[in-house]
Amino acid sequence: MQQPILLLVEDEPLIAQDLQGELEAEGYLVLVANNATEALHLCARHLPQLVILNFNYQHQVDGMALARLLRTRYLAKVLFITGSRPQDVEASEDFYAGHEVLYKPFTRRQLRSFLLP
Amino acid sequence: MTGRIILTTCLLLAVLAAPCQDVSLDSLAAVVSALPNDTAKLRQLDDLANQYGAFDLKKGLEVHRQAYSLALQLKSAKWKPKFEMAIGRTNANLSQPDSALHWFRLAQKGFEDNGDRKGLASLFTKFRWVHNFLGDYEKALDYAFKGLAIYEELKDEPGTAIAFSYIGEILYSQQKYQESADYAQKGYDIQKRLGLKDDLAYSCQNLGDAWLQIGDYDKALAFQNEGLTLRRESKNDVDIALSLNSRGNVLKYMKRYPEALADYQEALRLARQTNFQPLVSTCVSNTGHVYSLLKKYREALPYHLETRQRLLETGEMFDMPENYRLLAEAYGGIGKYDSAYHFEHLRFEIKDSLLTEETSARMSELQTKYETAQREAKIAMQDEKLREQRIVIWAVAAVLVVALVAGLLLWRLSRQLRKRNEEKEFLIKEIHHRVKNNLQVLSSLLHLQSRHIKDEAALDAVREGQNRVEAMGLIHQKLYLGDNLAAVEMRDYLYNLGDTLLDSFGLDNRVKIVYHLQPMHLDVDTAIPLGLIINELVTNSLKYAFPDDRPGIVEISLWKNDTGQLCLKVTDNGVGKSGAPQLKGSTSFGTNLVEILSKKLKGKPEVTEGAGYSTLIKFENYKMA
Repeated sequence: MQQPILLLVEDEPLIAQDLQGELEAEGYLVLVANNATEALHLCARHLPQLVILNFNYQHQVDGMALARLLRTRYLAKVLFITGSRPQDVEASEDFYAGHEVLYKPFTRRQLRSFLLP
Repeated sequence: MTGRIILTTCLLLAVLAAPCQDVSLDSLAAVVSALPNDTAKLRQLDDLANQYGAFDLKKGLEVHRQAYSLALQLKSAKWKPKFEMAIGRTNANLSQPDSALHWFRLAQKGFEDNGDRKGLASLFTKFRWVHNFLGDYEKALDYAFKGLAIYEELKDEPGTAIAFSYIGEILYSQQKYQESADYAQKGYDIQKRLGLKDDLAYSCQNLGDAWLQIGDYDKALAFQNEGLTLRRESKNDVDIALSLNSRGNVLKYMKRYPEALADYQEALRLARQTNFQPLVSTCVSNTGHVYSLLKKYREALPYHLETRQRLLETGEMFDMPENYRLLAEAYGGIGKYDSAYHFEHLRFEIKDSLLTEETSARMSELQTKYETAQREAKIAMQDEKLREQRIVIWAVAAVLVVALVAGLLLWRLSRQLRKRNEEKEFLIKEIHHRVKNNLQVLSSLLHLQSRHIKDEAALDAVREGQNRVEAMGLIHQKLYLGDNLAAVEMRDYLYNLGDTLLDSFGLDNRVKIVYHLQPMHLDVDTAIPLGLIINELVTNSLKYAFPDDRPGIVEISLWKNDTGQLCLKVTDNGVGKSGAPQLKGSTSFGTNLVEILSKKLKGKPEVTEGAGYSTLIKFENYKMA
């Protein structure tokens, strides 16, 4: 069976490296992007089944555009991880609609419970 | 409150109804002193005196005198002139005009000193009454117009109306009946509009009296009936008697003598009963007159004689010729011609114009003066109105400008505040974000480090560190998701913590965590140390209680006990202390941590060993959210 492809979009290198190791141990082929542009490039090339997208209120517009693209064009499942409170994200319910959200700081177990079976 | 007043009134009535006519101030004061304050006492006495006055003028006077003494004792500047006026009024009703004027003068000074314009107006209308009674119409009219002027100045409609009625009464005395009716009608219209029953009844009487003299009997009777009905409703015997007498007059002129007689006699009975001597005189005279008209001279005579006696006593010359004529007629009717001649003679002697041309002229002059003044006042008032309108326009414009400027300033201020608020909001967002991100980074850091450690003990120590960071991180995760920024819902938090620990030790399948939790939200300052304590205790059980693939249960209980302590109990059904390998060495830090954190929450760990291992901590210092 082909290894599932996972795109991790995280701008904090320490977290990115840690999660990459963790997710690879779970059996994923993990691609890491530091920003939205990189993420789009990687998506276009590798068509990941799952995208873990670190999103913060400062980059709401970018995050929203990226999430919409990923879902409509690449039919990827998106898991948002965020350090922003729901009340700090504009129209958060609409924004997160149809996606999973994991609030930082999260535990390993919480992250794994969101992964594909 | 009402009940209390009624009770007090009853007590006072009981005191006053005692056989002894003389009411002692002491006994009265004793009852009145039960009232809460001096004003209430004085008002109570005033009410009581007025109630008495309605059916016995002398008793009313007595109580007013007591009230006056009390007012003097209490040095009440407000009530002193009121009671002086009340005493004067009763004196007037008791046909004691000199006493009345004396008291009224005292009252005038008091009202002037107090600056009580309304009291003064009321007093002037009472001066008017006495002067009218004394036949000094000039003075009466003077006072009536003075009162009217004050009432108009105060825009006091009821007062204005009653002043009109009073002027009508004086004009009636001056036999200017049409003008009397006109003035009374002015008062009547206002009183009818305002629903002032008592005053309306008074105006009705005046109108009835005037129309009777003008010759419109039906109109007169209608007004008297209206007035009498109103007065019977308000149950004031003096007033009822006055209306009855006036209606009797109308009936007499309509030649309905038996009905007239009935009214006069009822009026007479009430007038005698209330000690209202002027009315007694009038009724006696009228009763005699009707008997004479019925040619019942024998019945008429005692009334005529009493009238004569009364006229001599009061010195009222006005009605003497008529009285003498009636006496002469009655004596003639019963055949006593010498007496008849005597009175006929007396009649011609005193019959002259008691109403001089001079007084009449003075009155017209005053009336013209008043009307001119009123016209001028009206013109002045219209000028004033125009000026006021201009002022209002300017004021509105000024207010608009001020409002505009204030609005602009407020708008700018609110914009600044909003900006400052937005900055603050941004900072809060940023801080939350940083705290959480940093905790996540910390966790990742420890995970990355652990991947490079080969030594088992060191790895253990780092993993425990990871768990501690996660125990704290979970609090922050839960904290910021709730509505209350400082509250942590413990059930959700502990379920997550337990699962995380089981996962971290790989014990998901072997060990079960059972929760006994009272629903509670804890403040973050309590939740963090408590979470770390639970982390240590559960870690301890998971590490040592279940060696050699032994399955088991860890129970976490959290509740608030009867003495208000927050109790935490972590129990396992594992091998216990004795069975646990290398307990001392590795966990001494964990145990130490529990001690330190417990101290912060003012709790002391109590360890119980039985089938397993159990720790109970009762915290004194904690904060619910």
